[in-house]
Amino acid sequence: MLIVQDLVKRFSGKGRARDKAALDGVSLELTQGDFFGLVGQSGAGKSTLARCVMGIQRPTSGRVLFLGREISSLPAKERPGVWQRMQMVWQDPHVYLNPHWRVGRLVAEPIRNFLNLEKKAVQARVEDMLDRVGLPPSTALAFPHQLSGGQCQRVAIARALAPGPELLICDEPVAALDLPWQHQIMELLKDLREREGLTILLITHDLGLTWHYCNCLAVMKQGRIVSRGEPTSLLRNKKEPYVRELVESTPRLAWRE
Amino acid sequence: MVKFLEVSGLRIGFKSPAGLVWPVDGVDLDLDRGGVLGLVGQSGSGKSLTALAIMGLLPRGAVIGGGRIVLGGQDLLQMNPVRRRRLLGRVMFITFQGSASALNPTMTVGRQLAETLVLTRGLSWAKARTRAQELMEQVNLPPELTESYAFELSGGMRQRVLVALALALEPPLLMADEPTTGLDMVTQRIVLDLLAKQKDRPGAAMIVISHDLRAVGLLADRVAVMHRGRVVDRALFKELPQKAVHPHTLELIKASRMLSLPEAVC
Repeated sequence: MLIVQDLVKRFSGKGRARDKAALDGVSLELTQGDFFGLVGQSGAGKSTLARCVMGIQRPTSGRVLFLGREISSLPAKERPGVWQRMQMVWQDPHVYLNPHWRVGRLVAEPIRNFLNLEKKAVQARVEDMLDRVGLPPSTALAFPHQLSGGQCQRVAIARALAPGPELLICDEPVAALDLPWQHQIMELLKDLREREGLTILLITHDLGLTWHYCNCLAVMKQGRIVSRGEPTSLLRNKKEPYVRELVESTPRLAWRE
Repeated sequence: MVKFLEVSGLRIGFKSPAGLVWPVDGVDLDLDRGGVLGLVGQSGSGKSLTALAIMGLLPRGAVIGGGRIVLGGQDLLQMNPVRRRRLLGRVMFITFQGSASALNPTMTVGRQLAETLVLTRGLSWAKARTRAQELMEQVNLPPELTESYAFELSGGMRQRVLVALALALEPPLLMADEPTTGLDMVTQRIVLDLLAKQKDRPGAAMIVISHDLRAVGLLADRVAVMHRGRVVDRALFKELPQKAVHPHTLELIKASRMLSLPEAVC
């Protein structure tokens, strides 16, 4: 579904920043139905990779192929056609949901932009989207500030699902949330994958999130992928010192089941 | 035995158009010297307000509606405000969540560390400056960073400067409010390990406040779970899954389990 080949992204800058590549030859492959976890520390290049995949940023070299189409060299006017099939969820919903709009309008916006539907059908789809992310229809009347962080992130996911994408890119979707909400959002993503066959690329610094949810993992450090594979084998691979460092930093609970 | 810190029946209220509301509504906590208490709960559960009340740093408009805060045998709520203020930094210290706003933006971090030492420890400026560099090394930061301003540092570095401040003061009661929020996992672990060293100091007691039960578990021997202004569960951390009764705590335990690596992966 998604192929990233040898992606390099350099930013022009002064001094130390000049020669450092944010992405330094990254390759990945996502198959339909994958729950792919991309793990790394701040500054590893995870978000730059997501932006290159979305086509918001142009890579310095390398290719991104989504459903056989090359994203990296796509003309600007053809991007919306791609975005109908590939959507993104960002870290802090309170920041990017327009505070002056009610939830109904926030969810209707991408439906109007991407799908050619009648007014009534738009309304029905808004309700359907809210239902898919586990929010009651009455949420449509609320403003973002009246909702908790977890509910806001559900609204953001409803917006992302509205155009009917096949790939959902989630960049730190739970980092701004309290732990029980983090769990609920991860369960929601898992349900969407199982019920609807959605493919998910999860970008996170928290290795703990991935174990129970992802079927593939890649660990990124300083613009490179240092290890990849199925979670069990990747995390037990003690040869790669960075993976070991990540595993040792992640809390493990000394509770008996 | 008399506890080092005992909070009983604490209520904190705010005026609202609908009358007084009580975000902290009858909190009981206790802590021995040498103990580490994890105060866990969602945002809005009242955990930070409880800590601020212990420090005597409640925001304007907050009303203490009852209860007692007894530290080392003295009731802090009955204490003369001038004497109470002298406890800050000497007897108790809190590292705040927003490490960017907790540090003075107009001073280099080295000067801020040194100033604290001059004011609370009575060191000379020359000695305080040398000590500031040592403290930076103790939190694994290069000593030349004493010449930097807070905005030049990353979130993890700033949080470590706050821990260095705590090291400088060696307060008998140290509170850390969300010490890991906003940091990546590796940096979180560095900060938590530095805080863990604090608990080896003889006679020191610590309160760690966080929404993240996983992080709290690395430091705390006991946990109190707060929900809507009350403590709904309290237990030794290792016994929490057996002792928990409140649905909120059970949910928190389940979330922690699902978002952690299994014990078997090492």
